[in-house]
Amino acid sequence: MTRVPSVDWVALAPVVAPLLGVVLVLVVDAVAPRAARLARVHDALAVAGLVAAGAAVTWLAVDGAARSTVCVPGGDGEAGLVLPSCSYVVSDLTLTLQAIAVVGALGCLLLAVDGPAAADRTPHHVLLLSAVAGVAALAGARDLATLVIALETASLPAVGLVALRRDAQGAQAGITLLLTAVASLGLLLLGVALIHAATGELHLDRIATALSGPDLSGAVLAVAGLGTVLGVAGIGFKLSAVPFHLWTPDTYAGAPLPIAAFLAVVSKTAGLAAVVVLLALGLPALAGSWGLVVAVLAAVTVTVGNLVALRQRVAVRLLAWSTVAQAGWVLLPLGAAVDAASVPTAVAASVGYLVAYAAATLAVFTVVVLLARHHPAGEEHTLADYRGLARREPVAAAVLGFGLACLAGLPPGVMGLVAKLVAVRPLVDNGVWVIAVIAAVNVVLGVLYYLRWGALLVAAPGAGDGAPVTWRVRPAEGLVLGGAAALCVAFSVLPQVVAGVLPGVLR
Amino acid sequence: MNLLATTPAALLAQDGTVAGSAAASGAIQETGSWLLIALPLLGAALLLLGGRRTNRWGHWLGVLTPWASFALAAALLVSLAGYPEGERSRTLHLFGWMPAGQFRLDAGLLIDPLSVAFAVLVTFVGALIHVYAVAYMAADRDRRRFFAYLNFFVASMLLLVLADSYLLMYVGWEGVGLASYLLIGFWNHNPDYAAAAKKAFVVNRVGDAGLTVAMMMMFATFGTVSFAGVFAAAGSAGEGVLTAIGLMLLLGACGKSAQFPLQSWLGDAMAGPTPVSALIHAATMVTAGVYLVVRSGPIFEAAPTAQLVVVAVGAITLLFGAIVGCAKDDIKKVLAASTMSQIGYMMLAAGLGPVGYAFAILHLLTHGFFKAGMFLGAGSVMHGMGDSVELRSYGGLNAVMKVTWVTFACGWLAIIGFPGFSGFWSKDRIIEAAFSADGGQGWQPWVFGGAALLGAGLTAFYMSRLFFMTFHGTRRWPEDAHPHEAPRLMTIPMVVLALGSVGLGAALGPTGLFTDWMSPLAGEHAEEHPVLPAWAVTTLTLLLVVAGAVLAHRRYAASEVPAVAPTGTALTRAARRDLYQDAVNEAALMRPGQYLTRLLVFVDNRGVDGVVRGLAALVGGLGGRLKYWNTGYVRSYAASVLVGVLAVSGGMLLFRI
Repeated sequence: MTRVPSVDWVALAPVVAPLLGVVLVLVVDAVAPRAARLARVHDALAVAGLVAAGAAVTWLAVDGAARSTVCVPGGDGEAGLVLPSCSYVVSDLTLTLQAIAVVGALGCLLLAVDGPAAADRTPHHVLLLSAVAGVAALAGARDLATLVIALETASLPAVGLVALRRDAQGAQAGITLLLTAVASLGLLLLGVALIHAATGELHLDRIATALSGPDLSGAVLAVAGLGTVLGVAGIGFKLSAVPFHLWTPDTYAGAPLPIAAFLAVVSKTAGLAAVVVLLALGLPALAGSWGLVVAVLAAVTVTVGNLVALRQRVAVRLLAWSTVAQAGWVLLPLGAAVDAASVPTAVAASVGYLVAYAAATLAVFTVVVLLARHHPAGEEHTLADYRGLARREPVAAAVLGFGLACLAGLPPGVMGLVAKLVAVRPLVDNGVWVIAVIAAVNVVLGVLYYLRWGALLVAAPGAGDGAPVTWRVRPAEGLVLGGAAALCVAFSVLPQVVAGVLPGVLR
Repeated sequence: MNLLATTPAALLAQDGTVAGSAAASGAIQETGSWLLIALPLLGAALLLLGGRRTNRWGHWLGVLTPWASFALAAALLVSLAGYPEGERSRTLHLFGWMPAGQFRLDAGLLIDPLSVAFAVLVTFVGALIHVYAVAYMAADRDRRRFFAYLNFFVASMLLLVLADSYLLMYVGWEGVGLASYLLIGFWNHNPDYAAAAKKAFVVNRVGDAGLTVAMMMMFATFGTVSFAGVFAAAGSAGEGVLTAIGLMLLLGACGKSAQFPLQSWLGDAMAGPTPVSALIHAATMVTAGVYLVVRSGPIFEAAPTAQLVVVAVGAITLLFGAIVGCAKDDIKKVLAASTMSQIGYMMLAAGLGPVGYAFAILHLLTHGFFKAGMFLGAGSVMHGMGDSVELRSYGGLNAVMKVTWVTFACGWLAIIGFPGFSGFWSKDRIIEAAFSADGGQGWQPWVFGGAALLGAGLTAFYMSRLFFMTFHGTRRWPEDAHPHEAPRLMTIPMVVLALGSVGLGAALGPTGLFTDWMSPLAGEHAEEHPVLPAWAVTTLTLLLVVAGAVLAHRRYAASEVPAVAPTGTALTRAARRDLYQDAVNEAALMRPGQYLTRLLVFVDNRGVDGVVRGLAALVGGLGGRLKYWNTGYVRSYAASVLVGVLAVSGGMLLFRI
């Protein structure tokens, strides 16, 4: 007998709220197409959708009740009692990832409203909110099908966002992203199919149970292992882990800056969410296998990202490569997983790093957006254009400097320092020394280029500079600047938030 | 939700309670005791951030905050006195400061007789000196900044004495160091003054390194740096470790308190404005070392060797300072040498163990009053004499500066230990205690008692010399000098401090008030066995004091004082140059240090840089190569993805499955 599972709409609110926003924006657009005076209504609806999602996350966090929905009942199976399994679970992990995505998206939206989104409000808002809904669903997804669908819901709108620029470069960036996304989707589907074939289950908790059994044949393990690898490869593109990273610099440079920020913050969150959900919840039994793969991927990603970032002169490209390196840092703790027992700490460290990374990246991107808007070279401006910024725009320079310090992990950016310590800690605890040493070397490489950028801020202005333009910071941009800076400072004052973002239980 | 539970508000809500049972009656004063620190800190922040807008009224805000803190400290004193004796040590938990794995450190305040006595001294003397500075700095363009720094100092000093762990105390310790640096170099347009500030900073760093090492050793040994945790575990550690910790703490104390061998900065620190010298370099900050030793009593009591070194350092410094004081012709430098010497007395007492704690702190309090009073008096003299500090250009000022003369005389009588005045009740007891060092056996009581006794005679000589050369004898004023009494705002604090110089010792010492107050800290101690009876010590001290004062009177009041200093004996010449301490430091530390840096620079240029440049070229080259991986062709990107998959699965097959 088939039953339609009951749906807990409260649990799903963080997913549904952005989608409601999408519907409302579309309705307004349908009722009054091209009504310029309704521009603010579009913006307000989009912001409201995200704020509602954030409020839902907060409410669920405060409520603290364990919720899950879209469940299949358990019963007496062949191998004994089978517990009910759910496709969507509200847990600390779900809510933390949703919070990062929603706050990050809100920042990007506010940066974009009067910038790149001004010409295409409806498509921009709709695409952005859809992607956020995808990330939110991904964070709660607990079966393979939901995982894939949610990941694609998070990915494909991003292609549209990138292509919004409507020029050759934008189109090129969009195509690059689209083709990589499609290739990755193929890999992911194949991987998921193999895992399903090996275990015969769709729900992650049941897959985990099936793979932790005592008498598994080598063939099952091999198929599941191959599926894992393909799955990691398919998701790796979202995180821009090397060697699935090549789209990153072209796309960042081709996309409008706030969209690049969106890719850096929200898409990375989606990538980590997918990795964690698939590996930590579905395949902890294979941690011994994927741990090493992830460790090597992460180490290579950090190293390549940092090495290339060293050579970049254009601010946006440097940021793109820096996000590649940071993605490696986000993955790094997962590489420390050697068995099922070591997975929860590794996940907590990864998510903690993501929190710090998201806050600092948003702060840095905001200042880059502001400079690009006031610079004749626009988004193509180079690091040299930051020379002496501290004299002209002390507040923005301070925020940028602090954000860079956080990314580099240098005091006063205590947040980044603690995040790096937390990320390396599981490696050391589990004795993955080679990777830990590579990570330590990379800290130095990172410091090198972040510090070089930071030092330019306080350097004496060069002789050849024309009369500097006084910045006119729009209220929305000021809000993001202040908010991101406040987050960085708050997490630096209370680094235990970053260090202890997830308690031990992983659901 | 962990994410939400760790917000500061939640932390405060959980932990912002007073530990202890009877938290009801005095609870308001205790829970509010963080305001004691916060108010001056807020004052400093407002004055510094407010900028020129606050120029007009900023100094009054600066005066207000220490007075408010004083009111709070006084309330705290009263509420603490209301508890039974056993419950007078109370902690106020502020917030979880550094929870990191097994290391958990909470920021909290320790409110006990010692810290409250200190807090009252700091706020009261500090507040008076703030008032004085309003007039003293009236003509200075940067008066607001001056008050901001002073407020910051008061906040840091209160944090230092009220902290409940070594680490939090260290925050205050560095804060006062910073304030001291900023204020010594307040007139930094004068390169000499800026150099003096730098010297104080560097010498203090040496001491601070000792304190940090001590903290590290504590953490390695006991796993904690909170006072309660360390003292509870102190008995269990080996004597060797405790001796090492004690010596490192002493190094920190020597730096801050200008004790031998880290004393060289204090004389130069007189470059700061006089209110700074009075508050920081006489009454409060420089006594922090004594506080540290007394606070760390449980460590020193378990490490007799370290204690002996403390006593020795105190004895050496008290003689050193006194000898230097006899030769200087700069009024502030004499007072600085005298401060050094008096702190030597306190150190000596603190090193004697529980017997001496109460007297060390009592002398610290009385000294805070009479020395601050004399510094303010010196400031008033300088104010009247056109900023001249030369004793040889003063003389006969008693007629024109009546208030300064009388108040300074009170401080003078107090410091030389004239019977009945404050210093008599505190210093005399230290000399007596020194004669019972080491249980009254062996060489120690004679050596340390003798040093303290001799110091008393020297003190009487150089302070009388200072007093007579300034206020008595012939007038040796420069022609353009028109000495006059200072304005009310300056004289009133001087009068208040003079009252303290006269009566504070008698109020606290012979009445037994202070020893009772401090008894929880000092605990029960063994009967003293002085090698000389108390009456003999007092008589001898008085005889030496009278001899010193009379000699000074004959040489500097009854006879003509030459306007140019005579060459003097070899000892005088050495004392004028601070007993060659700068030369010794230069030869023993600076030169070898310079050679070492030159050697390091050579190795760095030839060896390290070569490696680094090579590495940099390698890294840069790698980055340059990797850049070309990004061809711009999407098809090659997709190929890269597939190659990556093959590599990853190949690797996995090879290693794991």
